[in-house]
Amino acid sequence: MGNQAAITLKNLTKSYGSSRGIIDISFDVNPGEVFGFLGPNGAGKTTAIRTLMGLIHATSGSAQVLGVDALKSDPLLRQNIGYLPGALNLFQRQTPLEMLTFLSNIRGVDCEKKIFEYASRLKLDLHRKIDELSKGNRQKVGVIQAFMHSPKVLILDEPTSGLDPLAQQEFELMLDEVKKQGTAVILSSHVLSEVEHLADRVAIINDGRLLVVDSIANLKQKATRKIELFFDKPINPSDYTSIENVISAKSYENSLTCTLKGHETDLLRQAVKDSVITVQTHETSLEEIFLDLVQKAGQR
Amino acid sequence: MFSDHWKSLLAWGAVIVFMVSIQMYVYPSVASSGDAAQQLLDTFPESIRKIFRIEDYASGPGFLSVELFSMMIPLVMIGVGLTWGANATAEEEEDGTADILYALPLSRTSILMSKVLAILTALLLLSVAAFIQIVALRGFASLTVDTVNLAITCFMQFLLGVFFSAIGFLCGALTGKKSLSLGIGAGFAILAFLFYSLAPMVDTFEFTNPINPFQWTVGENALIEGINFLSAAKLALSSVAVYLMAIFTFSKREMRS
Repeated sequence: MGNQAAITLKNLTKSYGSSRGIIDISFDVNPGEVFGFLGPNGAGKTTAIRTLMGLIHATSGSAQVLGVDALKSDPLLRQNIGYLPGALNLFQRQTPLEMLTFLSNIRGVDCEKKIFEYASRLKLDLHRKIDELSKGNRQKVGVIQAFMHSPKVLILDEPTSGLDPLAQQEFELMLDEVKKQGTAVILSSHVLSEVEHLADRVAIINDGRLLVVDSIANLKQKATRKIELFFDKPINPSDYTSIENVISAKSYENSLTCTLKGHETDLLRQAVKDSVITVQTHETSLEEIFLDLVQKAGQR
Repeated sequence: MFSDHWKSLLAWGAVIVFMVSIQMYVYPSVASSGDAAQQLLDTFPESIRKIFRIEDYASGPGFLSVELFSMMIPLVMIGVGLTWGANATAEEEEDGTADILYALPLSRTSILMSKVLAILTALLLLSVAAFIQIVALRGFASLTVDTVNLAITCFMQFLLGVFFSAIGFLCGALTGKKSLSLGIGAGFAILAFLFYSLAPMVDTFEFTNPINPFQWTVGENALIEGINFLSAAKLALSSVAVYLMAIFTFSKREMRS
């Protein structure tokens, strides 16, 4: 497959008449990459994922997974995909072991070792009836059925929903392991700190349209952020507002708070000239970037 | 699915065996009353006698035809066929497990084909249970019935079940809802039975006979007349056609999560 992307969406559109679907969604996910897929409720994340899985049919556009047209619902392709649905429902009358064995039999893959390994790591009782399990434990069954056959592509819709912090931590380790093995992962989540921690790149979707696709580092670099500078004397803010990338500057006694977008080289150069004592930077979180982008999109 | 529903199959099998046993137990007293029972039935309106194929009630075929093959066994076969058919195409969507099942490396068609096979097996087992129970008890009940005609009749009941399972299958594929599919299927069955029962009385409805599944099965009275190949072919081919429509519809279906 070489450098070819594991997943490629091109102008993927799913319309439901007058109600919202997804419009012209395009992105790539590379092997060994965790790709965060973010958006408010109803933004279209699940619609995009279910279209990619062939559960619903695209109106237009294309989607390729591992070089195969994913919209043609090729069963062989799904052999290499692990999918965890957002609205997870399991076979209630079975135990996790029965259900996972049933699914691995259908896949024609012996997953017994993996099932027991993951169940032990996530602390899941494989022998209780699924309808007796808590939401968190059911979610663990969902996670295991997505991971157990070592797929080349993982599509995870809200994977940590209902998981306790220990299981979340274990899940993150599992994800890290498969990433190192070259698995391409789409991770749709509301837990932005989790995505920030796990994802290499993110796509943010709102009202069915993509707002941005970029690495988290680039997004942070491009985001508006604050820097506080402390001097041994009061500073005139107007000396700083004219500096490249600085949007605003406010002084208070011997400190100066600047908001800026982009690199801070010129700002720091000026600060050094003014004998700056301390610099405090406030790193913009993915959550702040997300809220900023979605709010701006809503104002348009 | 077959393993999921084996309890239900066993229960329906028990119902059939019980129904047959009761009727076989009753038959000796009907046969001994002979003319009296027939005279009573002769007082029924001609239309009722036609609907229930009441001819020579005291004879083995006449009795089985009225008591089992005109109403009771068709009801079970239609009920099982419709329910299993509708479940096959609507169950996972309604339970929310469609996203797991249809994301597996199997085509929708192959999943449906395995379900069709399970339904056909279940219906065949039920009709075989009826056949075996009648054959087993006919000596005890001193009931004379031609074995070949009985086998044909049971097979026609199987085909009736298959036809209605195909209807349930199609309704499930169209709506994705079990109860709605059952409602539509049951409505269709009632309507078909209504036309079938009205046709002998009202000439206007006679045109429906050649296209009515009740006429193809119950109406042919295979216990006495033997097989009617045209009716059997109509039932089998229309079942295949409805199943194919259902599979096509399902392959295009937008799965609800």
